[in-house]
Amino acid sequence: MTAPLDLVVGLVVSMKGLIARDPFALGAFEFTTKPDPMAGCEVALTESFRAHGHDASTGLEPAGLRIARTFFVGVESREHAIRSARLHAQEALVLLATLLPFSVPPFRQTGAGYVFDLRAAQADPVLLRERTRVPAGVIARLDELATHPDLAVNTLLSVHPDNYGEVGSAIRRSTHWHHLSHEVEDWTEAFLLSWMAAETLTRVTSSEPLAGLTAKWLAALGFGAGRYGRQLRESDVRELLRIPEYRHWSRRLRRLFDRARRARNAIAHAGFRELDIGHYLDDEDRFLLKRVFRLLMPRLTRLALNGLALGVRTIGGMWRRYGDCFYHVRGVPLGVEVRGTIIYSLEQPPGAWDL
Amino acid sequence: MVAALALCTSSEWAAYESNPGPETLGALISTAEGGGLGQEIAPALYGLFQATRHWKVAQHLAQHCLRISSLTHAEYFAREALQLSGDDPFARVSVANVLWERRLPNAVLHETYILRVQTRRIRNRVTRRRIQGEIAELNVRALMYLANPQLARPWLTFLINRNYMTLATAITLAFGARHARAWELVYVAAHVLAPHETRIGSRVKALVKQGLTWGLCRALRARP
Repeated sequence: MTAPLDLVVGLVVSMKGLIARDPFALGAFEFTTKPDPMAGCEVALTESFRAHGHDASTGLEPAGLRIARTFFVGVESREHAIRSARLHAQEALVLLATLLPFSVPPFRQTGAGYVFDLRAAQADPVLLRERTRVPAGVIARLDELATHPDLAVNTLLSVHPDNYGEVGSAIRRSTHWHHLSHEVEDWTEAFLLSWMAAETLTRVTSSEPLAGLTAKWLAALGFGAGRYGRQLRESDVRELLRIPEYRHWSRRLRRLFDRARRARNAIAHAGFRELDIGHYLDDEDRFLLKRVFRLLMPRLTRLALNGLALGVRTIGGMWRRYGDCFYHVRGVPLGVEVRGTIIYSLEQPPGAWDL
Repeated sequence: MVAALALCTSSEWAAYESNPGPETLGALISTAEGGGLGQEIAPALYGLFQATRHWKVAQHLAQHCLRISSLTHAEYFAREALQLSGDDPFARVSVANVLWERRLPNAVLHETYILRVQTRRIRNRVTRRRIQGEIAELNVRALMYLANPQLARPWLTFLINRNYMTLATAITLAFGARHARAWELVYVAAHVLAPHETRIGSRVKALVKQGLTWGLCRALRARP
């Protein structure tokens, strides 16, 4: 547990087309071109500019830039403060631009900025966007043999979309939304897009209730019950029931998906954003959902690709033959995957990657 | 950090460090600005505040940040001063001043309401009158910013009786009164602003001229 921090966060925003007194205040923010009076802040800002590929030598004002500055008291981490500042600054900028009597060039954040720790008297640059902080490595591809995913992707993309029926085009649509979910800034947008990506590979008919998706998603994660549980091998079921946390996580995930469904409705139908979604999902739910979707999406896609390999052409057919699709070319035993990957990942404490 | 700054080797700094107060602060600021060390004032005061956690240093830092238009730091240190002082009225005046600079008139009125209650408990008459003056200034600014001359009038009367009004208050009064078409208040503001012609902008000057013209016309109409 780290000590709470008092921080000043300054974010560089582009406000071309607006002439206003310097500084002017908007909500919790002060918008200014004046330098920060505290030692080290200007150096940190210059460094941040450089890291973001901007030229700081011309100064802020000629480029139509301002610093949106605010402070946080007792915040738990620097990353939380930056994220909160970004979201609130975005809200303030959009509100201002929308309510101005004439249209102006869009006010936007440049990504550059600095953080001044008011207790440690230390200034740090804001370097890169935190959302890019996902585990990343290097993969070497060998093509002496047909390998996954090359073969699957080539097979899918080298023919007309209709050739693989509903499942083939659903995979294409799903990956589109899944990719977009990594690009957006607001958590609720990412969540809605991930939900769409997962729903694309799950929903059989437009009248299927959202609650029905929960059972399928649990099954994709290895927590199959009911008609999906009956398609699992008996040895796997015995292995699963021997995992001490299995029942706990099964219940917890079911409740989480129910809450997520209500939150999804609030986002889609009432426009809730990350700033307001706390009413439906607390911080723990949000970080857990993020991890759950990170685990769920590749498993759903694999299920669909296996379905294609087995000649399944419809989403309904894929879920009817859940057991076949699930066990097709499966290397890792189900019990090992559920205990060693799914439950292990969900039990890890929140870290910087969960932001 | 404090020792690394050139300002901290001066005798004025030593005087301020041993006795933080308006006089020692004034001497420190004039020395720093005269010697081209103006940008060292905030880091020096901040270093001292970190070392001592003295609420008056936080208060002075807030006032200095306000003077150099650094509203975020000003608000943070004003709130620190208010907390560390155990709700000192002058610290609250600083908070209200920052809120005014952020143009949050309703928040200013909220703070001045608390100040009015606090003022009743101040026994020293001079201190009480000073705080009352600050409350009146802040209320006139906030209420005239909202173009509400009816509510501002009692506070304005207080300032007129005191025979003193800051230029910032007079400017807000002039613009608010013009918006509310309360020309006699524009005239009052014009009287305050007219002698400071070199310190006010062209828009304010034009408004002063309008106010004075209105006063002259009224005087001519009143002639027998």
